[in-house]
Amino acid sequence: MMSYSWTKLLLDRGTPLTSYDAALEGAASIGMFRLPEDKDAVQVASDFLSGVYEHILTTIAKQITEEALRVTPLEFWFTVPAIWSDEAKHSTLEAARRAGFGSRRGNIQDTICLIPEPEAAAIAALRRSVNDGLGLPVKVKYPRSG
Amino acid sequence: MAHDRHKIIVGVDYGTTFTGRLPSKMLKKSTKLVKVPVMLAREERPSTTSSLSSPGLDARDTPKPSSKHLLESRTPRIIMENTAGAIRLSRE
Repeated sequence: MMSYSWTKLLLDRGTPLTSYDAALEGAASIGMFRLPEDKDAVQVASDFLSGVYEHILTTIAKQITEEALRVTPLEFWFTVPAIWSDEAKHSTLEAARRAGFGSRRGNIQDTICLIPEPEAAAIAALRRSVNDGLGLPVKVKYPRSG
Repeated sequence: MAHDRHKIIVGVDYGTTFTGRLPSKMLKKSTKLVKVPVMLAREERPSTTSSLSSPGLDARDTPKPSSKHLLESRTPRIIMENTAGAIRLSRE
């Protein structure tokens, strides 16, 4: 069975892989970042995300019951690399939509949003500080001048 | 749970490994589900953060909320938090 990995980065067709990290050039040379003959990057990502979506619904239903999940809107936030183009972001949204995100039937309207990865990381790191008021220390490092 | 007062926010940070099947299945041996919080939020006021519904998605309209905006507008509305939402995949 052939497997394909790191396909997500192929959603950004306009950016050479080496623009992310020089090490990726080596990864590409050993066979990563390839696609099946009959699928493009969006479809591969969509196939993968369909499994993620199924898992999310199952997990949430176990917590709040299927009845509650049926009437509760879901708001999905997908992280994307900060340097991604609009085209790559659109491809991500398309992959998510094909995977089933935002397609539940009924009177609820699920939404799909994007957020840059560093911004999501910052929010996650600061969330506890904001929520409970404990005031986790944040160290700011400035580049040396001169 | 009234649907007009609550919503569930799910963060999805993912990587892909395609097995070649239709549709591909997550490789349990090569991926590991990591627990991350699933936040259940109450809609106390109309959301000021733009978002995309599934029909007619258009990346040109992709919202670009600032961290400050999200922290101020979303965090106070969180009324319950669970930790069993495994939505992040990482390679072992």
